[in-house]
Amino acid sequence: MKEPLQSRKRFLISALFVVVFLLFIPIILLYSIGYRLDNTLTLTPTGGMYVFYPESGAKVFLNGILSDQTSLFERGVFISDLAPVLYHVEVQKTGYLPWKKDIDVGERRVAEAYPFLIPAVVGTSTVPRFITLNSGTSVTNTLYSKVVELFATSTTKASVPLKNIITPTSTTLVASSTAIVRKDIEIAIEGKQIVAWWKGNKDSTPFYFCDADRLECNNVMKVADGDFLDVDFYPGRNDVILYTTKDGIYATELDQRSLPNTHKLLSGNFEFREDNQRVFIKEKNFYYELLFIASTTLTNAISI
Amino acid sequence: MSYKDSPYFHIGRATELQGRDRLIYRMLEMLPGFLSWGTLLSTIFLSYYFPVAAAIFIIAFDLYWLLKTLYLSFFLHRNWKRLKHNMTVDWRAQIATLKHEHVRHMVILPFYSEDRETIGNNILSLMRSETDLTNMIIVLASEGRRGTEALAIAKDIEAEYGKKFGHFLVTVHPEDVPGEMAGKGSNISFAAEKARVEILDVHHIPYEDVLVSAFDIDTVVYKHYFSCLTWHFLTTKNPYRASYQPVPFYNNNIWDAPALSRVVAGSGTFWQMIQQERPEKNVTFSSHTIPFKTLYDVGYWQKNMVSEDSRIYWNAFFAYDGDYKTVSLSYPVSMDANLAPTFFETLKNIYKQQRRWAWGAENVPYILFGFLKNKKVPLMKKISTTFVQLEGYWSLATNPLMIFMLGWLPLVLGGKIFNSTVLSYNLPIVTRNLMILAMAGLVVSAMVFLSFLPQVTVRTRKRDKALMLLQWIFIPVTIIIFGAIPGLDAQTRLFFGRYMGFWVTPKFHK
Repeated sequence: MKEPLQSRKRFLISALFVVVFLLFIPIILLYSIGYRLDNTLTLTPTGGMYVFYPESGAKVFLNGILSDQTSLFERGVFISDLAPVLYHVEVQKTGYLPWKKDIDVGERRVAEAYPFLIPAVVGTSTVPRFITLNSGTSVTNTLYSKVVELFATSTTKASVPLKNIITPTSTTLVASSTAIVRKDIEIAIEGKQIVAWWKGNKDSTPFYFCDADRLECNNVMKVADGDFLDVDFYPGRNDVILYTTKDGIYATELDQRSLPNTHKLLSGNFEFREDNQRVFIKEKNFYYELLFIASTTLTNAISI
Repeated sequence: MSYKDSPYFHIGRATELQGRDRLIYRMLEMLPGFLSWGTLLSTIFLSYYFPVAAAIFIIAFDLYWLLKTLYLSFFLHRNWKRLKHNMTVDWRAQIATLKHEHVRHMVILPFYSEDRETIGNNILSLMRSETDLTNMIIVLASEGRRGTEALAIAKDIEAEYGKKFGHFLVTVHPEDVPGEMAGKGSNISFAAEKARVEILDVHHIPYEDVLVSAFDIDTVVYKHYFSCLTWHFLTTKNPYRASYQPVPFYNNNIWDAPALSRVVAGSGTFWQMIQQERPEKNVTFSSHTIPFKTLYDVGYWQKNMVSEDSRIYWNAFFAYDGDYKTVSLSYPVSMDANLAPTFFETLKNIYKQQRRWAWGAENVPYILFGFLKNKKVPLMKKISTTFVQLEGYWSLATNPLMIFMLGWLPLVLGGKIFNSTVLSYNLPIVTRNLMILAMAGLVVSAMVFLSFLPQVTVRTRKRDKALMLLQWIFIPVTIIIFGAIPGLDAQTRLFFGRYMGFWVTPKFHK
């Protein structure tokens, strides 16, 4: 009759599994930490880069070479095994302006990138005061009323009263700007600067408030210099802002590693309001909505 | 003085001891819960304060889990081949070459609220088994607390089938006996003693010739079971220092039970199959057999605790100073998978049954305390048994949670510095890949499960057959909800001294 394996054989099998464990665990751990064998079979530390973009079809180029592409199932791409040096990153998507950044990859560290891709064509659509129903009757456009209401106040719903804002360097109350808050980040115009504050948990401070190793973080950063008229967040983002000067409306990012990507969306002198992921502008007594339309071909950025 | 004559031999819980012994036993009761909760809380602590160390530990644990899965799958596959072989052997022909006529089989069938059909099926399966029925002693053990209804069923069964067997005895276990816990252990011990007095002694049947099978009432034996059992008894070296363990299948109602119930039942079968290949780790479980001489020698099953099926092994282990074993029959008996009138009730019953089985952790203090008190058990046996027992209950309660839930903790609690390391990005990737490899073990499980399914019934549809294969994707769910959580539940109760009572799994047939 067949019997269970003898205890000695079972012991040998157990020992074999222990040996396999001891053999593989250092390899797997070194791999996980970021060590790789280079061409000379020397163990070398590497780094990685994580590029987050929630839509599919965005191509990620490192130093001009296509490295990866976002897909339906992956909202970002993780590029591993990178030598710890400076990389020129470019993210392209058909119909959008490319996003470019020089990013330093450290040993055993992952540099993050949150590209913002703006459609190559930004148009406007009038918000009419009246709309005509199928029956031919003309009625007041509720959207128009809402937009008028938005512009009737100097701040948006997300704004906080001025008196609540404390400058990073002192406890003096600032009297000349309005702060906008989104997901623990406040932005405001301070004289001739746009300033951003991190108001959340210190442990959750976003990387753009910190140094490359994320060891030193500030809760405040200067975003841009200039004569700014108004500032708000870009629809759906808290790391990209919209601002106006007398020349037009612009979008820029809080990520200050190398030159921030800044795009002029529209020329002109007007006010704007961001509401529920839609941007409205006011020129004299007319109201328009900004339309972000992706063109079918790649277009060069209108970077300034 | 032999250990079996000591006051510790039938100890059920710490409260039955006094002074220092009570303190030690109480601390040992806390040990399984302490280890399990300690591991889980340490993982959380490490993830927050030392996320790199936690991530390294988790990756090492993932690899350990993968290798453990492969290791256990090897034994599962091996037992599968052995079991299939044993089911084709003509065991009657095998025992015909041995002197076997003197061996008698006493089958104790405890029941509580089960219906006549369930009990009748059991008796019919005994009658269908290819063994000499005149050599069989059937003891139908009812509970007095169920009143006259249970006794009436027992008497009815006796009237119909009693004459077919050598002896047939109906016993009524009296309720509320001081020092006893209401449950299977006290009932079958009472029944065994009754059978000794009223049958063995009256008919001068030597205790050495009797093998006692304590079956759950839903147990259905396959036709060669008793011949296979007899062969193993007659060919085992020192057969009175052994219990005999079949493999529990849950095939009686497998086509009626929901997928989750089938997966849990199948997992239980697999674990017993694996244990059959590792006899030094195997202890008696559920339906099992023990020589009457040994049973009488150790004072029957314990009456003051829940897990009498495994405790009888440990009683004998200590009575014979560690010289005791479980012989793997690698031959099945079939029982009911959990099934209730509604799906939710089924889930509830599965949970309660798993918790009752996990309450087997109450053996840990008994074993470790026994090791302290019984100096005759060899040291190496003490060390290896302690490791096997502690690792077993610790694995049950922690491993599934660590693999499928806590593995992500360093990412959540580790903070921004850890989350910018390559290690933090690789942790979920490495975990995922190792788990995918480990899931290959599921293929082995699914194939083994399918190969032992009973014949298709008229009601079975193609969809049901496909589900029998697909159901194994529920494994990550079942090992957490019906493995780790009831395991933790039981160990936590033991930790706090909230002792569990016996819970009878309700039987329901469609």
